[in-house]
Amino acid sequence: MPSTPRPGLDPALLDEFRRIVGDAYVIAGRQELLVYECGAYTLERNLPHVVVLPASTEEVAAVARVCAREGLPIIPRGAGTSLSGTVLAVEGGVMIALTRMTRLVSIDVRNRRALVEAGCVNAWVTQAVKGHGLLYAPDPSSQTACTIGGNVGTNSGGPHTLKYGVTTHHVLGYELVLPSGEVTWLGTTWEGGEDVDGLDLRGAAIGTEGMFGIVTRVLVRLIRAPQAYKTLLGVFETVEDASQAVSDIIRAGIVPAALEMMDQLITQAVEQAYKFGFPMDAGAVLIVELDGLAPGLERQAQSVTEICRRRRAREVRLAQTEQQRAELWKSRKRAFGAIGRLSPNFITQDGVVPRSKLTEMMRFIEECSRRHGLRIPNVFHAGDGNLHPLVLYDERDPEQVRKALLISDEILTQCIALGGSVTGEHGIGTEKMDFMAKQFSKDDLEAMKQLRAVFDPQTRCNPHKMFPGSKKCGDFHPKKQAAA
Amino acid sequence: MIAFRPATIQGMGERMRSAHSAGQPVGLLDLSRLDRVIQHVPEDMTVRVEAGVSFGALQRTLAAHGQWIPVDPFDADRLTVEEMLANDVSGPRRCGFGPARDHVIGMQVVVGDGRLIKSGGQVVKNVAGYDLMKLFIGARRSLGIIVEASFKLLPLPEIESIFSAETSSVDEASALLEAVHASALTPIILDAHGAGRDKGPTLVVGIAGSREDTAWQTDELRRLGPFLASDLRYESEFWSTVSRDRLARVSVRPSETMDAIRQTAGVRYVARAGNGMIYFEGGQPRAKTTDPVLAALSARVKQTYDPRGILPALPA
Repeated sequence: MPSTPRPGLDPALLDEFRRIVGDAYVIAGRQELLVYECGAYTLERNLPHVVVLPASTEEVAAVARVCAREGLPIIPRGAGTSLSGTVLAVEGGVMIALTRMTRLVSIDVRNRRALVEAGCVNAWVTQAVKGHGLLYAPDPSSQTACTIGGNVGTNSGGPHTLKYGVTTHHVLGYELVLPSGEVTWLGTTWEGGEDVDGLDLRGAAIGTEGMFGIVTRVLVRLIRAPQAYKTLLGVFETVEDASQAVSDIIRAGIVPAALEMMDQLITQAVEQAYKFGFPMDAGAVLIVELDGLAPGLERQAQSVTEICRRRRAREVRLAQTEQQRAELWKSRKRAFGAIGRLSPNFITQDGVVPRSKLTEMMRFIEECSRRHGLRIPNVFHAGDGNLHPLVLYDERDPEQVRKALLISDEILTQCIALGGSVTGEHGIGTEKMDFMAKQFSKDDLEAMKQLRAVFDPQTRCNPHKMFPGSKKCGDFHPKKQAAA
Repeated sequence: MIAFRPATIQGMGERMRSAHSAGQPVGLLDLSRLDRVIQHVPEDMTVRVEAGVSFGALQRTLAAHGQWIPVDPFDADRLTVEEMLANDVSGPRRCGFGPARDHVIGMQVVVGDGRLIKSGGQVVKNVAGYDLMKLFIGARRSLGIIVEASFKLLPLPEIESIFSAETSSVDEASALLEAVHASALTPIILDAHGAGRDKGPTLVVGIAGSREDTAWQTDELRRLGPFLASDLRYESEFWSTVSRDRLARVSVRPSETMDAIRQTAGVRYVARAGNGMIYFEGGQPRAKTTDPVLAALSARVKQTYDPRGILPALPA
């Protein structure tokens, strides 16, 4: 029995939505809506008025047309793994969740493409094409849950973007339902070639965090799975040595598929949780994955090993089997899940610095931690200069909450000062909108808003995101982050 | 008509603002004085330049540090970064490294109303704000003039080798192409070129990497067909003599490349078989089906950044 509806929406509209998608796929009861009050960023929460679960592009378009007629906000949602508040219904509105549109529609092995519905889970794509020796390259740590449509909205990355690039490099085209309810296709079509006439609206709308419309189907590029891997684990006494090794590897002209760092705090937590065999007393570990044709990898692996040793690595281990490699990655990708062992709450940041500033930035974070007395473990994409400091705090202590927010602010401000960015892959969402004015000029932001107005003149689609000064949720509750 | 040659980015902005106020076409532009390499930090593997810099000169500067922007347009010395990006020009190595847009991490543009706007930044991974850069790459100056660009770089490969194989028919070339495609090779160039119908396309394969890797690939390739050491002369011959007025391009699924070659009716062509692009002489204007929603969006983008129409029309 559904609970009482959230007030504020005409019951006749709920009936209209039910006629479009079916009775079972309109969620309007207060209790049932709680699932949708936030994504993986839980500091702010609010209920949408209704969640609609369409099964096709036509249904999405019909729901969008009703919203257009009624002037209602639309919040597109995939799996809700956003770490920046991108799927938050700031003022309520109609949430369109794509979780019933999960089909892998078609695979074109010869042309290395797959057509998927937006709710298709990222990892399913690689799973489905693996037998053909292919894979879908962007691999966010949440890849077993997050959706391809959500990846398009966020321009998602992952550890292997160092060599292979992010979502925009692997999405050939997609179907977009505009907030008006009109349907269009941006970029390459299933039948078409990769060069498309006219403006690259495909590229311009990727990473717009659901503010340009609802992505319903996506044509992704597949790449050939590497013939071989060499996955190394470098064990260092200090973060500084590990950071120097990262710079040296890049400077040596080696392009690893992934180059990841975990500091002592996070390595201990990950080891306790997953028992991979990480050393508990190391200052930092580096995961260096080399991939490509087998004949070239041996010498590269030797170079990496030598570089690590020159930076005083105590030990450099090589994954001996595919299973060891898989377990290493599983531990790394579930690192956020191990934080519960360290602290009741944490805020994760996503700043980026030029790679030569990595050591300096790591020192700054350490200094922040000391000065404010909060622990900050780090697990991140070192090769890209993309940090993920995890500021630990206890929400029951308001002083800790205040400090955690202050530390986040200081870290992101320092990233900008060093010539970097406040987000490498998690997005701006509601979380970091006030930083946009630090990173961009008024004219830059105005030009972005103007592009949004092309797609959504009434700014109804995913409102109150991205731009500084946007409205925030009334209730602001720092809560534990169940991050992916 | 003499081209306007701004000495500074601000100068370009002023010119655009006055053209915008007057509602007059901005006219011919020559960005060759905006040729500074603003910042190249080899250890970051990024470079930031004024967009009037010659692409060839820039590549030489980077090569001195063992780095490059993996885009290889024909006649790079006579092409500025702005021209390369505005016209989305690429070369045969696009097969291995992707189009120019994949390597741009930041940009400054003077849009049609004179505003200077920035998108992206100096780091290799960045999702702050919308990716406005994509609007201007390949837009042929219809929305604004790119005045500054930042790229992520790659190390130059230790070894690059180019091979070609002659064939006697399109069918034979097609079979060979499929064999290369299905093999474990990782070509950075996969071209076909030819002229006339008396013989089949010449297939070109480029490989790059470490010496161990390229040695292995060379052996593999020779096992697949009659591949001999070769070069990219066909590329410069085609582009230096092709009539720009009669140059046509079709973009198909890579698997349809050879079918498209059959339809070129015996004229000269260069095909990027890995990407499904065929360039040839003597093309007929194609009938286009335009999605009205897409056309309306594009027109609104034009209206937004060039409200008085002082820049060239949108690319067709």
